[in-house]
Amino acid sequence: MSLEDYRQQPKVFAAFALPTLVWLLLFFVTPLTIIWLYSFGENVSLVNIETTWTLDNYVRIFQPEIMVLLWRSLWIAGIATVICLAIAYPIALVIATAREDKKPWLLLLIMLPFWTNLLIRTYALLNILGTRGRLNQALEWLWGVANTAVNRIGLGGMQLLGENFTPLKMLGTPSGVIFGIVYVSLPFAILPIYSSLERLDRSYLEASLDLGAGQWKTFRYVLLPMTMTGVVTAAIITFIPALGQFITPDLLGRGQVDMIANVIERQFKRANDWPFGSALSLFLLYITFVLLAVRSFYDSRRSH
Amino acid sequence: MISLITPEPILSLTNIGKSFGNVDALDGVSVDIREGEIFALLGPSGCGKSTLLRIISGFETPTRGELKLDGQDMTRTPPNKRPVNMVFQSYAVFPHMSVADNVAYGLKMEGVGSDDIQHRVDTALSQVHLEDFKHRMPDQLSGGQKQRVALARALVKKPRVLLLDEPLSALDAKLRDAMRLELVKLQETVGVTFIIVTHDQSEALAMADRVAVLESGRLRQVDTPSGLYQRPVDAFVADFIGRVHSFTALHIEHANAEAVVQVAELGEIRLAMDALPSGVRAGAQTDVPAIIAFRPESVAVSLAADSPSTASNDIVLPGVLGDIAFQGQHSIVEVTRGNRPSVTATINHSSLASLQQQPIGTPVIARCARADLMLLPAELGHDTEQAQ
Repeated sequence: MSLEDYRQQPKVFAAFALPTLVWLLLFFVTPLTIIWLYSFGENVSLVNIETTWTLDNYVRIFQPEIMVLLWRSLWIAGIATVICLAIAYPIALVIATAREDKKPWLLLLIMLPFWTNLLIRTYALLNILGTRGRLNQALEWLWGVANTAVNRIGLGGMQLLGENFTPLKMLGTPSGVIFGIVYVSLPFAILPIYSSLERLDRSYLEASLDLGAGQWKTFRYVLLPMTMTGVVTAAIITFIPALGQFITPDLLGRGQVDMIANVIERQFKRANDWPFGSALSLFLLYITFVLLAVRSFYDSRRSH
Repeated sequence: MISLITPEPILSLTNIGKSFGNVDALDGVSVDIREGEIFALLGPSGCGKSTLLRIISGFETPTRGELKLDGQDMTRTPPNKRPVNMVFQSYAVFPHMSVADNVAYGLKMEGVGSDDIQHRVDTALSQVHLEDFKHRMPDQLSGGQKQRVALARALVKKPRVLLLDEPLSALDAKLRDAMRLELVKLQETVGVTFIIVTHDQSEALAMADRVAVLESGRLRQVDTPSGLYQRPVDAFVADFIGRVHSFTALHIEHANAEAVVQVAELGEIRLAMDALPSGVRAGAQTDVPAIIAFRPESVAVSLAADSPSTASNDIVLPGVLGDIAFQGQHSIVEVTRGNRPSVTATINHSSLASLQQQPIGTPVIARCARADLMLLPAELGHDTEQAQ
């Protein structure tokens, strides 16, 4: 039976579609509608919200404190996305060009971290990124080795590498948060790029080489443009969740690198300002819509 | 000693071998390709012709042997450093560039000035009749037009050798015949040496000045199309280039200047050694398995009643009239011989007249002049045996 057959049998089609439809309606459309209504409402008592169609909540988004956070969220997500793409592309390329029998294993390695809970993985990062964490221990060891080498060649007196090893401060800084986001998002960035590389006919690359382009120019003028759809998908799939990251800035940012989602969380909990929290949530959703619109515009332009 | 004046080959392959794991894709291939010729690499799929093309273009490095272009060793030169360009089977026209940008790509990579690029792109596009398609994107082009873009893109680089990988296989039948002629004309215009890979023998015979027949990674014969047809060196080439009827030679003996061949069904056949091609003469001396073969074109069919009973020098195969298939200029007449393999004859219309009125089953005689017989080594040992 093909999809066409289902279309000709509306009852069968409905039977299959109904559970999904009910699910989406109950657990997606309804809560979203409630949030949407809240965003135009006011707290009338500690637990009651009345929809008064006020635009106050949206106006409040544009206060400087929130704008600072929003801007920070955007640039942290942006930098994390760029780093992610830069790491993901070569990895995807390695997998796509690997021998056919090795590919499933390499892909499995990429997916493996997902078998562990996000919270646990983030806690593990605390152990790595801390001032006395594994990363700093490794750096200190390297520093020691380098320092010994410097002393050996008789330059010890100049203190080229500083008197003592200064540990990198990662936790509670944007770089720590970016590290965490990159770590979490990397597989999502690799897969779309991999699939676009996998679909690319190799003769395009050979044609480029044949016409006199070296490896770099072939990458720049043929490989990258022809896999741009995958890169854009990877960027969006990384950027959108990164923008709404909540656990990573909370744990790795130590409350000092709040992103917009942390503020939203606070509105629903400590601040007990659900209308404002709702407005912020929806604002984030609108940003996402704009990004998706940009992407589909890009896609439609490519296919002509 | 007087040496024959032969032009220096543009491309010279010496003892090229390529192994993938323990599989030999190519073995001991040596051939010289002359400047300005259309050279075809012909063979069934898996014969190694594509691997050979990839070695010439630089995408594969041979395991053994040497490749010289204009006398310079290029065995290990990467593809982007070789004055050789390729028209890919899939054309590989970059979909994100316009026709003009595709053609300009190779020149940009060379660092040619933009005025010069403009001019050369226009010339190349007019050579393939695509002047009006300059600003089109590839997805607005037909398959044939894409191929022209690929051709222009390669030719604009002024390569020493142009490689064409199965250039006609993706085109529909009508376009294929037209493109065949056009490629030959284009080659005459630009004067670039063409190497064409194909599995289609009619394509190779029609287009090429010389053809190399490859089978199981080995070069069987390099000759002109008519040479291959008239003087095949072995049973494989004879069967691959056109059709042959073959009979196993049971025993070969030499008497004076003749080879005396005992053939199943045909009895004793005496062939003058002088009449045999040199390669075959060598084959006929040893006790390698051999066949006696002739082509349907060499067969004449006459009614048994009309034929003189005293056989001349021809070999004679009696049978009954089978189907007659009209082919335009000639017809193919089948002579069935009970449970023995039937013999077909390609016959022109004047000879056909007497046969046409006869019902199927009429006793006839198929005969073949002794001069048209070929004595060929059967080359047992690999695939040929299974194919028969």
